Amino acid sequence: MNGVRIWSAGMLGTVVLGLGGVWLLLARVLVEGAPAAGRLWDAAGRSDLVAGVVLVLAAAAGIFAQVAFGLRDAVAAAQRAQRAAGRLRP
Amino acid sequence: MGALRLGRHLSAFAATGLALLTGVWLLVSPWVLDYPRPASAWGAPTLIAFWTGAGVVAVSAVTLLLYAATLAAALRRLAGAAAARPAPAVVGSRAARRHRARSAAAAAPPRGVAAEDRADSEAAARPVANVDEVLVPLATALLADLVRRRSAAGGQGPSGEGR
Repeated sequence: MNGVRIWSAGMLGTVVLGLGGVWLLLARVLVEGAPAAGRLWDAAGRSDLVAGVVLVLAAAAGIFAQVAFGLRDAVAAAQRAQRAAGRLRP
Repeated sequence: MGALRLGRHLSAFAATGLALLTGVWLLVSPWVLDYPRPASAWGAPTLIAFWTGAGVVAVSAVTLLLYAATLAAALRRLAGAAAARPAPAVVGSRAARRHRARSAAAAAPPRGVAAEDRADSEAAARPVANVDEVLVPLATALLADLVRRRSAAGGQGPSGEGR
């Protein structure tokens, strides 16, 4: 497995973590049904909501950073290629 | 990618590390916050928090390992590139220039001395990294020179070139 594939697997793990956060936000209502919505702000519900928000934000920030760094590297590589082509052109 | 993208690796580690901490908190939160649960079994909030936390810890640990493997691969690639980069050609050029200068001296004696001196002074102006790197090419050049002289002396007789 080369570096790009390992990195892609890591990104997949980050996406799964974000989905885990979404699940955590919805879990009480999905598991206990509509009546649980009235008890969401007890200690358990508050902890789950905060943890879910933290997970979603962490995953989103991680994915955003990876995409931003990837785009920056791609732009830099394209500029280098253009400069090299311009230098080689007669 | 020739260089190490440290920001990329750091952001990945930070996001995944935060997720790992969140998972650990989810694992222990039912007992820390004393979730309401029946006496005989775990209640729904405890089940949700515990198993979600277990999953988050497992996934984030694997993700951390994957990102660490990516960083290790990048470091290995960087080290390989640094090792493949040619060392500063300080020493080999000195012996080579000396050898070329001696060959030129054999062909045209008056100008060869000046060329050799110039080559030596240019090489002496540069730093020498390793004594072995100095001696091995020098000895090789001297040996080649000796063999060449002997073969030339054998072909021309006792009145052949000499210095």
